[in-house]
Amino acid sequence: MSTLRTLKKLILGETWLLPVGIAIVVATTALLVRPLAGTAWHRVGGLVLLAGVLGVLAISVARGARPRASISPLAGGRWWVAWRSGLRERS
Amino acid sequence: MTFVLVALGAGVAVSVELLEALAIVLAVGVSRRWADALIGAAAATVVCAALAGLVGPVLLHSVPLDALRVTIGVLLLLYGLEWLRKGTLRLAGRRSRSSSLAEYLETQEQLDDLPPPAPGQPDWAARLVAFKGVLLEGVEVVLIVSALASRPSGPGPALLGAGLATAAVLGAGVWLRRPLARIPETELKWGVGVLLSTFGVFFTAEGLGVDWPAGDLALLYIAFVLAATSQVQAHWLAREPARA
Repeated sequence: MSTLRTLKKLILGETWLLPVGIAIVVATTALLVRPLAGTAWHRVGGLVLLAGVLGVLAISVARGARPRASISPLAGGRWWVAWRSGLRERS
Repeated sequence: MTFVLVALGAGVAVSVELLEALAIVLAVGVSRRWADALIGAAAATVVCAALAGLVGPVLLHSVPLDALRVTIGVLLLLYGLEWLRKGTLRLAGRRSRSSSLAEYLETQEQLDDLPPPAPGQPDWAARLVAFKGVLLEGVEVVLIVSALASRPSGPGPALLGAGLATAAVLGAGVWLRRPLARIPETELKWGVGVLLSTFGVFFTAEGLGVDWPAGDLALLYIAFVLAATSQVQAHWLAREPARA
């Protein structure tokens, strides 16, 4: 299990957000934007891809800056996270 | 210009990865025995060399040109954006700064907990720690250099950058026998993230049939936009208090 986790971290990084985001951006630009853009694709396609990549970067950084889990049952509604967190703090 | 940027990207990427591997090997050598540290590191180097011998030719010979560009681009984006994400968080103070010295001290601490090696017997624990450290960093080096070297224009700049970086880091390691504490690793890694992401966007778009406005000069404005976005977000996060 730990070897698989290390391998995943090595190839895909620490978060699923980046590989999934990159896959969505590349697939959308290749399969959706390219046919719709027609001849304009050769000139603007790169900028569309760049905009998508910037979006993925901004979202992944924003997610990385957030605390991992809400420990307030009222704020996040995740009472079990709060309960487990409380247990960990007590131990 | 592409030659210089590819050589620079490969060189800096290899040097920061090797600094981390070197820190682990030095920690093993200083705390246990140099022979075991070097055996572990050498075994990992052989595995990495075999991987490089497989990955490079497979990429070059079995993938059509446009698909190759997209494959390389996506691979570089995976690595580049991950480094850029971590770099932005580190610059914003939302993540601890990157430090080979910390890795060195942590490895030494781990090894201190183990019983000392018996005289004349192989120290498998030390060999394994050195092997694992070099292998994990080495695989990243192989993938990044293979991707940059598989460009249709040839492997020259990537191999030159990687070779110079390897010589510089190994030379510093042999000379100092301690990790280089004063190197601004966080900023270097952030820079590598910008460069790799730039090449990733450039090659992926080329593979999808894009003609970049201004040709190779596009590398400069892509790098500028990525760096500026990351810096703006880092400054914004640094000013915003972290919510508990």
